[in-house]
Amino acid sequence: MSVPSAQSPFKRFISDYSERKTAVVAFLVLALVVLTAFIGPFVTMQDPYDLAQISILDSSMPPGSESLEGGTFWLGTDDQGRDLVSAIVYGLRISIIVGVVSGVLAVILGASIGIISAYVGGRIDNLIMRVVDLFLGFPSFLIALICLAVLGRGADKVVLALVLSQWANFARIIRGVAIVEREKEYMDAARGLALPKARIVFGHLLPNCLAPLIVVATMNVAFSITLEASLSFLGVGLPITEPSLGLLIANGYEYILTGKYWLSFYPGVALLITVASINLVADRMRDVLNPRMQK
Amino acid sequence: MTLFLIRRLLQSLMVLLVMSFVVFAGVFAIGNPIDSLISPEATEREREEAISDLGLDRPLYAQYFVFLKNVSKGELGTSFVHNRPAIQLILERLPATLELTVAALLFAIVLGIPLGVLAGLNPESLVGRGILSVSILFFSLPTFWVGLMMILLFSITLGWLPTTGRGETVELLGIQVSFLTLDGLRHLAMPAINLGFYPLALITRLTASGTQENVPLEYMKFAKAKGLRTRRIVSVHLLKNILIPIVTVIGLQFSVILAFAVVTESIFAWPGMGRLIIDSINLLDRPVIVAYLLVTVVVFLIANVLVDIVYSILDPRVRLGRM
Amino acid sequence: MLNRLLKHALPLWLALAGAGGAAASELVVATPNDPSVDPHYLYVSTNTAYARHVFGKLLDRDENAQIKPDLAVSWENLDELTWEFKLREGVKFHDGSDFDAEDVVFSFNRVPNVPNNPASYESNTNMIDTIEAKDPMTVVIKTKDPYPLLLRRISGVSIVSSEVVEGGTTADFTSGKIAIGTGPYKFSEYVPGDRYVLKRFEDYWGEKPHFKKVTFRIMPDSASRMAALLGGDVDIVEGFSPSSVETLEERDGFYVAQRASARTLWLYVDMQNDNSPFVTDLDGNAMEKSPLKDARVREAISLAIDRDAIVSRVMGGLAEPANQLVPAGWFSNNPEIPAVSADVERAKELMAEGGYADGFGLTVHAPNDRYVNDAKIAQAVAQMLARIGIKTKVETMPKSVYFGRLNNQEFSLSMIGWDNSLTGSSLMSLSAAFHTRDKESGYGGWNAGGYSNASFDEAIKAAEKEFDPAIQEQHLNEAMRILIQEDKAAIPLHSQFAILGVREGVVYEPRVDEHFSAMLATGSE
Repeated sequence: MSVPSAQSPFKRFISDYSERKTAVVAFLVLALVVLTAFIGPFVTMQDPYDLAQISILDSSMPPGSESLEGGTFWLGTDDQGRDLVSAIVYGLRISIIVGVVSGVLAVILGASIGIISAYVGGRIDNLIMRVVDLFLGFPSFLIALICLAVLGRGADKVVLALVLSQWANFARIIRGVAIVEREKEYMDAARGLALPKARIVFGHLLPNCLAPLIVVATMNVAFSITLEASLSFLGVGLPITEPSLGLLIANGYEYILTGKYWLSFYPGVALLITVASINLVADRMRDVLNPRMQK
Repeated sequence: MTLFLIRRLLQSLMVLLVMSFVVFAGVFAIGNPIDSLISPEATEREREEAISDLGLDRPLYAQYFVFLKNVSKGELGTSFVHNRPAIQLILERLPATLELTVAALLFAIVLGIPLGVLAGLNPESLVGRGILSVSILFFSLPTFWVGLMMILLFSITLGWLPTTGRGETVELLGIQVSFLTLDGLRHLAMPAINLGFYPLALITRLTASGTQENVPLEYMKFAKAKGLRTRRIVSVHLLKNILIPIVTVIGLQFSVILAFAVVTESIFAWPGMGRLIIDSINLLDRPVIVAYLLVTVVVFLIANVLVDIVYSILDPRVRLGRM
Repeated sequence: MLNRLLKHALPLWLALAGAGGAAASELVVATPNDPSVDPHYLYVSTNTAYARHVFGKLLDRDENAQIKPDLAVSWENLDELTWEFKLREGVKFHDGSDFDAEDVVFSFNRVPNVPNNPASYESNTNMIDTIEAKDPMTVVIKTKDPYPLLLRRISGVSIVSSEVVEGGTTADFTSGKIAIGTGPYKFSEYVPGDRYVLKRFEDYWGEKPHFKKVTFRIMPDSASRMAALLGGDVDIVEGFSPSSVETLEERDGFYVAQRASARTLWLYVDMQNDNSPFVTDLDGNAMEKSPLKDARVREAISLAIDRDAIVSRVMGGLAEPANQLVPAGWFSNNPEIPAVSADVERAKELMAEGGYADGFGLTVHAPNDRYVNDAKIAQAVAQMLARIGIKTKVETMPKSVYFGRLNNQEFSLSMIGWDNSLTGSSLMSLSAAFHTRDKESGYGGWNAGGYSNASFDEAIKAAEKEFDPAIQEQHLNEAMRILIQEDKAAIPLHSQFAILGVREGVVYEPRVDEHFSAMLATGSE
């Protein structure tokens, strides 16, 4: 991983990344999406989570309709009378937070356990892998339902459920890769130098498992967002009065066949743009970061 | 090898034991099935009688102990809702779910690996970039939404395929399967493809990234220098080297797909065990939930053992005993 | 309505008058409900509906929830406790054997004794002291106390064949082995979670139904049921979502069969707890005295709710605003209770009079998989309460979690929907949901608001023992007046409609109890 020129690694990363135009566009779109999600709530026409601001009399209005108070619903309203523009902006924020937090937490937890397990080996590895099997055997919605019943509803419980149902996946994937890496020469060399264990694991083993890790981690942010939507579809998940993008789609789902397409179409588009741009950015980052791919 | 399998089995039994307790405690914390099933006409006393009939008034540890005692006799309990042995309910629906899951995985593998190799070998071409971009789209839409869109397009607008349900079945080795009849295949196509989109995207991308990583490596250059044909290089040398992460993912996907089959089965009215488990969770039918988990864990462990065996075949450096 | 009648009745008449017998012979129904084939196992309304196809009863309830003779042709009260039923002659079971009094006695005795039954049918038999066969065509029932409701109760007991079922289990019914009744359809095939197939019983004693074969396709998701209808795979959709009504009406080849049903939705108010679990002050802290105990606040809540808006915007117009717990036009609907129309100003005044001009915090609880649009209704209610300053949250959950907590009185303001078709009156809802909780006598089993009023209880007890319908209605009207007008202890919302999506060519009129019945379906092809 030697750096040939005097360029700092960060600058080098930027210039490598920018070689591909689609990746740059994706990054700009993602930046715009994140900006919308976090600044948007200050400028929308209503707070869709404040029940006093929405009216059932405005429900299911097509895009471009006038509201009772005189504003315009550019993307229409949902079945409770929420302005869809406002609802999408707020929903975007919740979806991104839930997706990123649970996705990243699950990967960090899973990858650490997987790598340690692979490196230590033996009985402990065995034990850890059986715990992993235990978690993998649980359908994620069962975990979510138990959380819902015991803890009540809320974004934090959804995050907990998503992390609990996904970390084991990463532990297993990373362990599979790490076991192969462990047998390679450079690991023998590292052990030969009598480096501290932690240094071997995180300094040598981890970077070499990084490529698949980044692929799965970024996919997982996207996956967490869609999984949260599926949980909403099954009737567990976030509180219905504070819908995420997934919940907006799930709520609009029953209207798909009825011609009121906008209820789930626009939130779907917002979700698609968000997730696709996350994935495109991550995809390029993987190419750039991968040590084997460097010129 | 036999020793390895036996040890694996014993470990799995421990997992099942722990898990059954977790489920017991979890469902115990949520409530009991009586409250959601009993008719509003029932009096307080009738309700209590029903609860004690099912043994649900006893403390958690006592209920669990009874369960263990029954398990040692080979009984997993009787469904509260269907009044039939829970394991029987699961097993009669298992073939439908396995058929759907395997069909979805096959779809993903058969399409995903060639597409992935194609994209990996030509990462800068329009085709390669197109494949990778489309695979990203497949991650981005919720299964249920895509499922309904498919029904809307293929069944209602075009009228090509039946909307929902499982088609005609025939018996194969004592199991009802639908993929051997034309009607069965027509019913199977949409749900399998719907369920297969996610693993398809995953396999395509993993194959592409594996291919891309391996192309600049020495052995590939060597093979090329030796003048081997591209097809042979890919099918013998390249695939062998990129299959490990793919096999891992396919093994893992098995349980993910099994879980996600719940959503697909619900949209396409597919009579598998995913539908059963969602109903059972909604009604807190604990024996069925426990039996379902046991069956999925067993299925999953079998998949895992297969993955480990495939590992050792693909890469002799990985020895089974160490896993 | 007339339009629809002409549209459907005319082709039907032409078909009947014409060739005859050329009718399509199979009916395919998309339903969200998995059946219990055993008619004495799992007492939920959808199972009662399935059982009506295969099994007969002494008396049944018709499509208007009125009592009609089935396997009993006449009955009389020998005294207040003793009832004698004369049975129908010449009735055959599906296996060709004859029906007699032994089958009746056997069936009544089996009801409370089905093992592992989480929802027993015994509410329909537990008032019975003895039941015996006086002769092969006469059955005598003695009740423990005078029980005028008996005729309606026994409509919940399906009659099975004693010879075949003796010693059989629920699993034997499921496999079809002993699913032998006297009904117009007989068991053909049941694939759990997939389909339930019935064939017409050609030796049925009464009028034979139109369709020779009925297939119930079990499809839990409402959008896929709609898709199956549009795709031509099914003829009728049960559990049809109001949101799809407009689309279906606009499309050629389909129509919506609808009818006001017997189910009324209302909100329980926590009348008992000083420290109601989901009532807080505006900052989210617990309050010393619950505002819900103030009748003015309860009235304000009721006035804040715009029922017309819920009906038109959430229910797609397919519901009737309710001012009490039984639908308008029903027996025991008290005509003196005035209609409620939303009045936000008056509601705010009442809040101020109660000392809560600035409002307080409250959570509305509702199931999300039980009633038509339950979660959406709860949200709409919350919006309306927010308008009078009540800082409202909504929490919805699956029925498995909801009803247990409801019964434990864990909520402050909570939704329920009650089907009044069993008694055809307010009696069951009032005695179960508002009579003072009393485990010994069985009253108040669903009193989730902790309501208790001695004169209300008295009226209920009097109504229950009364054989004369006119006097019984007076008692029930009095009870309803106390509950709604005097104490404002329940907040009525609306009565929902039974809605089905139907393919043109099939004629169907829904039952008032929302039960699906293939016997009511005819073809026009």
